[in-house]
Amino acid sequence: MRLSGNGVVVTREAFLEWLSRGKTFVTEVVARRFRLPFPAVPTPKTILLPQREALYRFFWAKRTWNVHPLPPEGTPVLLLAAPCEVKAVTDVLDAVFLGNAPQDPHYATRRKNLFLGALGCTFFEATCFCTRVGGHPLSREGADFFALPLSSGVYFEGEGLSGRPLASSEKEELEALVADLGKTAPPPFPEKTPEYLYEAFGRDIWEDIAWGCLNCGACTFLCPTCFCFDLALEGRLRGAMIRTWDSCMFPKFTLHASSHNPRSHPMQRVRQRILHKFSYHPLRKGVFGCVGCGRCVALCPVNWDIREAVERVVSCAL
Amino acid sequence: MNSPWEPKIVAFLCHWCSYAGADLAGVSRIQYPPNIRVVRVPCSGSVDPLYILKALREGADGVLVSGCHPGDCHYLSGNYFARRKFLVLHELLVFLGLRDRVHFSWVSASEGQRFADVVKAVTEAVRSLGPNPLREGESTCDAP
Amino acid sequence: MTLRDTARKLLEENKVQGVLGYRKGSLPFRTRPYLFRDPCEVEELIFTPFCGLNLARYLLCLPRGIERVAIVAKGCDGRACVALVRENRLRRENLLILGVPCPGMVDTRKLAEWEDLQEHEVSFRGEEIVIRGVAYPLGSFLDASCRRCRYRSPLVYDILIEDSEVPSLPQEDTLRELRSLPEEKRWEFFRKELSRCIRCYACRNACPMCYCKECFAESHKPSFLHPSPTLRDNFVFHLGRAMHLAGRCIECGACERACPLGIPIATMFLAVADTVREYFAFEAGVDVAAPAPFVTYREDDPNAFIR
Repeated sequence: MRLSGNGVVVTREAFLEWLSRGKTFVTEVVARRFRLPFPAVPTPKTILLPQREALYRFFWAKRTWNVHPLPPEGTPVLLLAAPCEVKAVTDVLDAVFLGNAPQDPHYATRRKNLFLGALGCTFFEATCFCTRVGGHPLSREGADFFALPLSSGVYFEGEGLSGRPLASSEKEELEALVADLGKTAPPPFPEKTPEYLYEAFGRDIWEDIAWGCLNCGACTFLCPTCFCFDLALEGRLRGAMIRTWDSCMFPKFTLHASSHNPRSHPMQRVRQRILHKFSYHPLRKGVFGCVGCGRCVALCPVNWDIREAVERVVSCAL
Repeated sequence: MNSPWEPKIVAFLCHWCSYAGADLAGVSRIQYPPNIRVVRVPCSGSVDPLYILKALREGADGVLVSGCHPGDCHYLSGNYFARRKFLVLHELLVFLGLRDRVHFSWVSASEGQRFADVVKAVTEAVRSLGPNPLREGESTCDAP
Repeated sequence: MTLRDTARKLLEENKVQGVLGYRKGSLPFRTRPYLFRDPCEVEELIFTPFCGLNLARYLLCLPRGIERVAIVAKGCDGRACVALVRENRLRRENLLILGVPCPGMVDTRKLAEWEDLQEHEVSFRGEEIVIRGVAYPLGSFLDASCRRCRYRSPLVYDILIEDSEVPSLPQEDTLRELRSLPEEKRWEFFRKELSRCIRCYACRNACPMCYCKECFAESHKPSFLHPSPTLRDNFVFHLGRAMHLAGRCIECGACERACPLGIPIATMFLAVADTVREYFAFEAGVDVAAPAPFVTYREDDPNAFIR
């Protein structure tokens, strides 16, 4: 358990009042579980990497192109998210957009302005599998503060809010919750999963695994860790360069200017998605590129289950 | 300098009839509102519904598609096929609540005055609707 | 003979090399498409009111080695098969349509109201659905496209599984309410829904009639819309797709079921199908021989909307 146990307990009213002091959002997962009077966004990605963003404006005048980069902007925002969604930001999005020089200025500005809080989960949904990929429903890691509703108030760890220490009954409640979650937690994927998947690239099993997937972009767009984007101009003599989400599931994702497409077949794209999240990203950065939030499983139109796909390939290798 | 809003209407005119009709209106010095921007096409049947949607997407407040009268198509049956396609598009736009943005007409090469009348009527219809409703719209992708 | 026995026999006798059907999913009330190739796998073939996915969508991407395939076909899936044959995408003789009468498919979103609902807590009894012991009229739980379905049983089939237990609910005019709204309210409704769309293309990819190798939405030269999901681009995508499906949409509602955001996208395509039915007396996937509505014309076609 990653909670220090050194937090404080505040009343629900005090917690809500503290949250209401600035511009506050919750993610849809949090909104679904708790009645909170704040607008909901699908994932932290919606704030940090909006689906449509203008990077520079251009216009033709005086016989030349005039290009004006748009300054990065961000207003201070508080976002209350589930621990898996926080992990998506710290383990994947930050690594990609801030991990190498030059940092993405638009992402960096928004990230600096984001006060990110984790609201602990008290149970696993049928689609949850954060513990399979190194996460935990009570994880505080990466978050600016942590909160967990108890029967008698809200447990809080972090700066900015003071309260009373935990009563012994509350300590017991926390311990019982931790034990309960421990019993129901989905077990982690086998240790060498990234290596097994990497070695399984050329196997025949992928045709079978990929069949059924519609190759739409629902999973990638709803995924809190997916970050691929497309750059496309809008306008002709006057317009802007727009950054927009792209999906590795789309057929033109890897279409080269020469018209060669290394992933023209749907199977290749499905395989790539699994390998990117469960093999390439962990091999390079040490953490899975998936946080086990389960959205893709819940919302896939054909119930294509990425957990089963990984299990099948790994069991093939073992 | 802020001039009052004037509707911009893209007009797809078939070369053999409607475009010639518009030309006749011109040489006859018949006045009609200057809000239309003409795109000459070979036949009303060659007008893909996607052109009409693209015009609306680019900010046109209204669209006019005009061809030869049924039976008079230079390519014999192009306008008959067009009529079926346009009926479906028209009904779909009405269903969406966007009646009167997209108009259709049959204007022959000798109907200069009639072309002017059609343009007048279409311009007034679009003007009363106001600017293109697609221009401003909330987008899921705007950062909150 | 039951569906499973029929399917098993077809595979055992090698009448077909695969049976396209449904299998239990990994979550309550979810099913998934599956190509059964081995007779012993057929144990897992199911057909329940949670099988809304249109299987005909997979007929054009079967794996190698399948010469003849059987497809478990509801009324709408059967229409898709006929429509694809008519468009020369499939050979009729390579297809075995295994018709099943359809009770209508349940809109699983309506079940979200019951917290933590499990499959064994839901049962069907004639024209009622029983949830945790309480009975409700089945009609109110069906998908919108199922409530207005005209062809619950496939018209064209090779084998039809008899099932007298399947209720035949009356047809509803599910678009009546929308049509009765004043124009501004209708546009408000569509403006809001079209603005919500994130252009994931789940609707298009779930549709059996959308099989273009390059969709107009992904065309760069010419470009009809920008990749970003603004209202104006979503408008072009959905209306463009509606026009491409005019006279081809088989009214199955797979698009609406696929949408991860629950946008009632089928309303548009169903309205277009109604227009084609009303003015051109044509329904897709009903008669293999009927000429497509947009490659023919009549001199007395409706003209009143043209100046």
